[in-house]
Amino acid sequence: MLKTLLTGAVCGVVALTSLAAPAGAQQAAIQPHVDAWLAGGDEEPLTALADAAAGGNSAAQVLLGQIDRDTVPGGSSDYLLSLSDNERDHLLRKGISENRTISWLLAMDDPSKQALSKALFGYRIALEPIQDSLALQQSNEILAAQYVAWTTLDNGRFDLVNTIPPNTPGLSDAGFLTWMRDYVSQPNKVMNTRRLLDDTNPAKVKGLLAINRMARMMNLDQFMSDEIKDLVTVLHGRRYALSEDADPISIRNTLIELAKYDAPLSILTRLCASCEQGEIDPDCISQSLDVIRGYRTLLSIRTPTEAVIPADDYFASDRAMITLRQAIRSNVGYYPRKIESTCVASFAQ
Amino acid sequence: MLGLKNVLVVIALAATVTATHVNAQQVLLKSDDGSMAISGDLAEFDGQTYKVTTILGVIEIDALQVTCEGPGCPAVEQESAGMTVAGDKDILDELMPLFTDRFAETLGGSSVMNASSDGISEVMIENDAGKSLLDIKIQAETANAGFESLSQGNSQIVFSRRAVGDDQYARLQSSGRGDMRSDEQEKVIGLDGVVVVTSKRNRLRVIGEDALARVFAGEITDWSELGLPQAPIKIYLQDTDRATASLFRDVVLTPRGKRFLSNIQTVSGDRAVDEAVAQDPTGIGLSTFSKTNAAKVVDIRGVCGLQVSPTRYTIKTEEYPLTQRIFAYKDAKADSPIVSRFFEFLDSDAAQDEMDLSSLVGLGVSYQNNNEQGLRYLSAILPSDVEVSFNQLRGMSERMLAADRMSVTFRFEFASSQLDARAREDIDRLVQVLITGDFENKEVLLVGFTDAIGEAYKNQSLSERRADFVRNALIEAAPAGSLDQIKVEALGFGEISPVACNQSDNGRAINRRVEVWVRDVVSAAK
Repeated sequence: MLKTLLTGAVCGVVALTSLAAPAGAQQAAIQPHVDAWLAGGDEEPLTALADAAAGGNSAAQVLLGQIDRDTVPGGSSDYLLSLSDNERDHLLRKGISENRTISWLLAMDDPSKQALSKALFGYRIALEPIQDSLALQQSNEILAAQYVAWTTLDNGRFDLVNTIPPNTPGLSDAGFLTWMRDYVSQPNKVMNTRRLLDDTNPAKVKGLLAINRMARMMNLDQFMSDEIKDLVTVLHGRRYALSEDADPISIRNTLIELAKYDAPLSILTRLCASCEQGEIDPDCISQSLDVIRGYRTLLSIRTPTEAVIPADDYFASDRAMITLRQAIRSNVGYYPRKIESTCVASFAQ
Repeated sequence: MLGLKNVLVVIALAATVTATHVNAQQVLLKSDDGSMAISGDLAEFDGQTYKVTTILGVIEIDALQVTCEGPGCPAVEQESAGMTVAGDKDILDELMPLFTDRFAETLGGSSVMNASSDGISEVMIENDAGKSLLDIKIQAETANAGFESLSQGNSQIVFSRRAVGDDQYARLQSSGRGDMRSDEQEKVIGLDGVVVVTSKRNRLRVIGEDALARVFAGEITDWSELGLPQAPIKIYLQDTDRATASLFRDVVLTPRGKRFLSNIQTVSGDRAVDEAVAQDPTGIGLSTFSKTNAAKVVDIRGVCGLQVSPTRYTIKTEEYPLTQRIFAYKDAKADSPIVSRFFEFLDSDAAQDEMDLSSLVGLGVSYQNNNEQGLRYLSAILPSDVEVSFNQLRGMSERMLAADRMSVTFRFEFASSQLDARAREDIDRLVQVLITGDFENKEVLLVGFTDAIGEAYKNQSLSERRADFVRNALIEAAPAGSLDQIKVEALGFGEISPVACNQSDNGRAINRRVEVWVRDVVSAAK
């Protein structure tokens, strides 16, 4: 089932032969270490990847370069946090001298990977998000390209998203844009839980949140059911703002249903399920979103680079859950409200 | 209220712009709160809405919430619009602060009020950027003065506690102000009730309608005639031309061929009646539900024995026989889009939420469970003019068992399936409730009833037709497919459950109705 979540993240992508699967001898050489890292390993696989990178393995260089960025999707692990700055830099970066290092993304040995590494390094600076998004798309980092486009809209810059050239595979036909297009074109604007659950577009959660972002200017609020408004409230990480008669079980069950299509949500539901172990913690999913400040953070938990780790492999991995758990742990210290979920309390330890 | 199939709220930037199809040119629309920027090729601007071609296709943007930049932006005069709202002082003083504040909020802005000890004189509505959108002058006097002001073009909207009278209607039409009884120019925006009040030290708790008429006609002058200790009855009333007294006259006095006694000492208003009566154990007066605070409300028992106390629910359903509708009227010449937008706002959910916070009764939906509907079963038995069988009663009880009744109640013209003015607005209101609420695992029952005029079997058929009519009207008003998942059933029970006495026109009008009930569907265990 999780394999089907691939399309949840990359809906509308035209199959690109260089994207379809990790390929090449360099990839093959590091695959065991990648798999170990995805399974939750840290010191051993990262050390092996560092050795491979130092030996000229460009796949390892790209991957370490992204992990070094120390933000999701690389994620901070307990192991990395335990290292000194110097130890960490020498593990994840290219050594120039004893005391100086540089991101592998800026020092790729393989010239053919420079466009990719530049795109991966540059988009976080976010000076020209749609240009960044196009650069990622051109480097076959489709998930990252869509992430940038979605966050650009979420930042209130639909005007920039509107500049995406038509017929840009993976971007102009991104799932959330397709969802929005379909919604806008239909005379029936009513959105309720049943309609959302019956919708087969895997990007419907992203689409819903995106249209919600524009709803006020488009006078669409009147068509959103109370349950959808509650759902959006929770997805925005504002569970505390729910009305007293909001049904937490219904919301939880809806999120679990949506997670069958939505890869980022699936990480969260898997994490909560791993804690619940058969017993229901009705607040785990919603309070986790609360702590990490919403779906947008969840969206950032994705493969460091599709060139090395396909999106669906990452979403299905333990690494994804570890990264999410780390995000919860690092945010809970700033969370002002009472932790009502026993699972979230356990994640925070 | 806007029809739901019209997905756009028609508003304007308070400018004179004619509708135009412009050559597609780039525009950048920035929300007034700075939270969103939308660009695209402008396909159409009608002064109220931008239609823009974007990566999503053509989308429609509320022009009142954005500023336009770019070569494609239409030339718009950026002036603040003005209007005057006139009418009943009590209503304006209470509602205008609530309404204008909430109206401004819907535009993403805020309101600033000028008020004095005499009341509110002006409200300015601004957007988030501080730009003035609408300047509202308030002439709070009487509804009659408001209609006069409207006919002279000095006000654009009037609030009134009663429907426009025939003379006023004719005068307004002849002065070019339009058809004040059309849906476009007349709205019911709230409710109140005319209530009979006495001092809390007076033992009277209920009075028959006939006796009540005789009291206010001066035919019963001593409390002993009503079975109470001897003392002369003192009547408190405001001007008999005012809405409160007028409604009482129309419903209670005139059908009995009676008039107010001629030497009533009037007081200044409904609140003054409440205060005066509260102080006087020998007093009795007519006030309003919204203004009654110090005095005690006396129930009125109909000639058939039915007695409906004035509560927010019975007023909301208009089953309280002296329910008073609050109207808003708009000058047909007041075609400025923001004025139209404000008028449309008045019976919107947002406005009605505010109404329910006031002492008046809003049109928003509330519920009452079956346990609180005991009157229904008494009313089926007590009146002698109703043909009812035990099987019919049982059938009705079975269908309504464990169901909650919504306050939305549709009423009809005599022997007709035509909805009255409020009912037409309530169709949209109920559709909104159904499509945005959680009605999965629920069934909605539209239950028709009639008055007792005519044969019972014909009334049975008429009640079913009325329920069907409402059902069809709901489907017609709702966006295509939006009600598909909701089970809505239409049924009728004829004349068997009167909630008012059929002996009067008013009572029969109350009885001609379709009620809305909601029941949980209980699934059999698998």
